[in-house]
Amino acid sequence: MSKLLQPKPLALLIGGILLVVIAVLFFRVPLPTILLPGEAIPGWKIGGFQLTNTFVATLIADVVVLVLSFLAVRNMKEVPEGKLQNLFEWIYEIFEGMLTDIGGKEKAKAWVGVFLTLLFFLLIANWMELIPGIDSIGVIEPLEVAYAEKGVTVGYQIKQIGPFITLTSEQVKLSDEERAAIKEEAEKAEAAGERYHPHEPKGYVLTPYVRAATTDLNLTIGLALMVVVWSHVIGFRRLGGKYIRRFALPVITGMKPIDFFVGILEFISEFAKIISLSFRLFGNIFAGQVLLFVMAFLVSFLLSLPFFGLELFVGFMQAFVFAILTFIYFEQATHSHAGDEHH
Amino acid sequence: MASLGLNLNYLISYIVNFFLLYILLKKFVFPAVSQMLEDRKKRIAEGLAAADVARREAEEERKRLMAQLEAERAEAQKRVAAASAQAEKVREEILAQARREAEAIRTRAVEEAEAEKQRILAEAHKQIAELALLAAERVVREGLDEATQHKIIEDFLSQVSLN
Repeated sequence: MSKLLQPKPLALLIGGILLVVIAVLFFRVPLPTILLPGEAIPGWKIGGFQLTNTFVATLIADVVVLVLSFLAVRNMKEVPEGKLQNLFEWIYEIFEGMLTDIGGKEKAKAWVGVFLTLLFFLLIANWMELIPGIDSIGVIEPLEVAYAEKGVTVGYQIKQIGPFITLTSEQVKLSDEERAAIKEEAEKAEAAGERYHPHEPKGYVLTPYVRAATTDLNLTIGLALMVVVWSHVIGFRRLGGKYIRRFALPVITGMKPIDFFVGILEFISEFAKIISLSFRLFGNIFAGQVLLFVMAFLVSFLLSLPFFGLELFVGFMQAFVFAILTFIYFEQATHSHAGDEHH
Repeated sequence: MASLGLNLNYLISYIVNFFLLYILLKKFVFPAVSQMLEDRKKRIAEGLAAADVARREAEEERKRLMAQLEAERAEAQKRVAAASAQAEKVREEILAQARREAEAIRTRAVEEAEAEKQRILAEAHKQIAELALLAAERVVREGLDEATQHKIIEDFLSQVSLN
């Protein structure tokens, strides 16, 4: 207590409280629209491919990972000069050692590439939610359009500041009658073959250009699917016919009945792997993003800072967990079940 | 499924995207890093081995030099010992010589003293004899009585003892 009463901590404390009070009274920010799917950015289309903000984030993450890794290995020296090379080598060595502990030298060498690619990509993709402004720079469109296309029911008023248009914190909600009317109109517009546009928008919503890629289930399920299929390919290539045996397909004779049930469980567990891998990653990062939104919405200053730290950790942890589980699945796929592998 | 935003096109494009990233990194980045680490490990091992050899050589050289030094020291000690023995012998000789000379000097001195004594005694005898003759002469000349005889003898004797 006495430590708080000294001038410096006291000033900091009072300043902090003052900031919070100002934030609550005068400086409200709108709560970003929280949508499960990656949001299509209006007007961003390449050929017939509608870009979503999560896809944009994926491309950015690709570029960042590629640029950083190529910079790290571009001018490698025996005695490292660049910090990037040092960092890269350090990471490589640590994780290769870790994988060697888990699966042995040969497997670590074979799959450290997949592991690190997953780790780097997911790390950048996860941490993208932490970049300030990433969820508040985007395209503003009428609430009615957003409702017709995505089912958004809450929008905000807008105001012009210089050359920029920004949402204010004044909320606008669509009533049931309005919703019905919009639906009707949108159907009419669709029947007429034109894009629905309201005459006088009641409110507006913002679709950010970039949203953390791992908050899109398509990405996490896609990667999980890829990992599990890949592990089967590895298992089959290493063990051949023996690999199929673990799933108790009744092709192989001499199988005990209990093996059949074990096989069914194995089969189910493969699907469980996909679900758990993808939803763990998605859930953590999506929830983290919503947490940051809500904290900024409650108090626009200071409050979200500790959560940034938390999300930094969660982002790393989830990327790491995904990558290490991938390695473990690969590793498990190379064990044959009946104990006929010589140890 | 639609409310979760699942869409097969996106899903496949994400997988393809990851594969492209993986292939690029696998082809250009990871082998370079792994190669560099391997090379460095080899270089360090070589360096350590070379240092080991150098250290062993230095140790051997040191031992050789130490042995040499020891041998030289022993040699020097031997020489010093020999020299000091020599010196001792010389000293002994000199001492013996000196003693001999001193003895010779002393002997000669004693002999000389003896000779002197003999000479003096011989002289004294001669004088006594002369005096005796002289006294006898006087006695004969003066015709002596008892008392005078005694006196003469006493005189004579006192003269003798004076001599």
